Amino acid sequence: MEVAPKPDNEEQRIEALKSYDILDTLSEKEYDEITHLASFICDTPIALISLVDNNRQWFKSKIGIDANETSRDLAFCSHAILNPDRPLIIENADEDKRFFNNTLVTGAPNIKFYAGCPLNTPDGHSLGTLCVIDSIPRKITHRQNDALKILAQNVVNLLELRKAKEEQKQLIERLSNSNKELEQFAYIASHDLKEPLRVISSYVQLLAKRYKGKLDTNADKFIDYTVDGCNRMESLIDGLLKFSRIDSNKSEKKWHNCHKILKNVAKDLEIRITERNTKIKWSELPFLFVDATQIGVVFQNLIKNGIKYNQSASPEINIQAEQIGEFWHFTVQDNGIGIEEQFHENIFKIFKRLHSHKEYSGTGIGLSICKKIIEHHGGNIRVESKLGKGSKFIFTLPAREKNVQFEPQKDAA
Amino acid sequence: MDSELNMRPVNILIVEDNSAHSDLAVEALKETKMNVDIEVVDTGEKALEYLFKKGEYQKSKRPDLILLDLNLPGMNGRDVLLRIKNDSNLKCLPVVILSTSDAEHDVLSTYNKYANCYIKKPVDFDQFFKAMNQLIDYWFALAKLPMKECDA
Repeated sequence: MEVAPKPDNEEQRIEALKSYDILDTLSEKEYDEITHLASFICDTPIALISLVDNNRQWFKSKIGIDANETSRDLAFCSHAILNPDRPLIIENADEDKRFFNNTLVTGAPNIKFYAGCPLNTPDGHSLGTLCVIDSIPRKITHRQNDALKILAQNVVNLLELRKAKEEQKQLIERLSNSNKELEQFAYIASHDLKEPLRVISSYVQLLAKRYKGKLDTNADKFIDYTVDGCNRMESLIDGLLKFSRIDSNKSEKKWHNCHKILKNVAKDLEIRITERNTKIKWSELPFLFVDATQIGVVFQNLIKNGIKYNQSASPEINIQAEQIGEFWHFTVQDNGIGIEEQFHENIFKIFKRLHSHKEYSGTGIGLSICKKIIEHHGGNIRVESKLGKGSKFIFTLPAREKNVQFEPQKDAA
Repeated sequence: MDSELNMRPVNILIVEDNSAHSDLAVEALKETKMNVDIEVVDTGEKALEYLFKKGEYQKSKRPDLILLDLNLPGMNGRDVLLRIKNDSNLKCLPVVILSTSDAEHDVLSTYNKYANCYIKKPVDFDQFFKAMNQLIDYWFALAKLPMKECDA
């Protein structure tokens, strides 16, 4: 018996084999179907997908034998992988000096006929073979030989698919981890930034309280600037905190009547609405599977903006919803100052503002929060507007949720 | 107002590790109508030395009121509270927890350890000064405090 030598690229070959993470996995239907087909086409009792590991050949799929693996030294496949370009065909092992006294030939499973087609990776590594075996000498036809090659290629395709899926899974995991870290970072950073800011703010206010009017007029002005800066920074940090807290994993989605959500928002904003003599109206709104608090924040921000960025004696806000295909399209239309087209994308970016603090106060967080919430719900948001012609914010929300039954009666009260 | 307290300043012990926070409390307390004598210690260990008149605090004055922060380096505020309330001579001293936390477990656990009052420290400057005023009003005008040692 001759023990097959190791291929030249053995170290890289083993590395390639490990990269598929396939050794010692459970049997899988897709692989078993290929061995079934190989056994059927070549009319042999045994068919295997054999992967040649350091010291063994391990069977990902097997027909006609019970063993899960054998020693590499005994394996016919160890010989087959030495020549990746063509299948190894042994018509009668008794007549081959490499195999005649192999214990797999002299004893069970009494191999006489062997045809093994190498499983070659795109990088040119032979991981093992798809092989068919019989205990009587046979020949293999051209057509069987071709079929075996095609099936072997299918095994490699399955392995490649497995690897790609695994890589994709890891990538998604890495991405979601870094996302989580980022959200956590934003939360912790903004939380920890507040403490020293409060110290600054408190002591400047103490200075103002004790020494206002006792220093020169510049000093009073400088103190005012500092207090104002502190207050604005605190609002920014609060906004950042709010923004980082919108976590899709933590949202509590249920079936909600959007009409009720909007009614509550209008109630919360009652003072602001009446103060500015605002006319707010909305059409019939759907039941949707959403986080009511978050969608409430979206309505609230859009309504507040509609009132704030509005020079009309009587701001008007009109909210409509219409189902188009799988989505409900909401529009929140105001008669405010409008937005130039070149800024239509920028306004949804965090901290982006179009006006000075003197004109309109604000942090530039509101619309970025709206965008994050809507996108977490699987929709999108955009604006249609012209300067001086009012703004129309359009956002979409999925009409139904996969695997969740519509249960409006629970919300009917 | 209590006549005896009228004659001498009220002694307040502040236990707070961050001097920016304790100084602000001192300033706020000084602005109240009460004549205050304030001692600040920055660890729980020093608070106990002060109360038990040990180490550098052998001539310390017995406080009329203790303002205690919960998060202290080393021995924390809960342990300090526990030691005070387990001491027959100190347990009648009013201990006010002054904390940035409004977590229910912090509130409940300190009342369970016989804290006399839990205040969530207002973050707003004006609110904080107002709170210190109310605190002084409550403990030294509305409430009546024991004038002698607890077990006397």
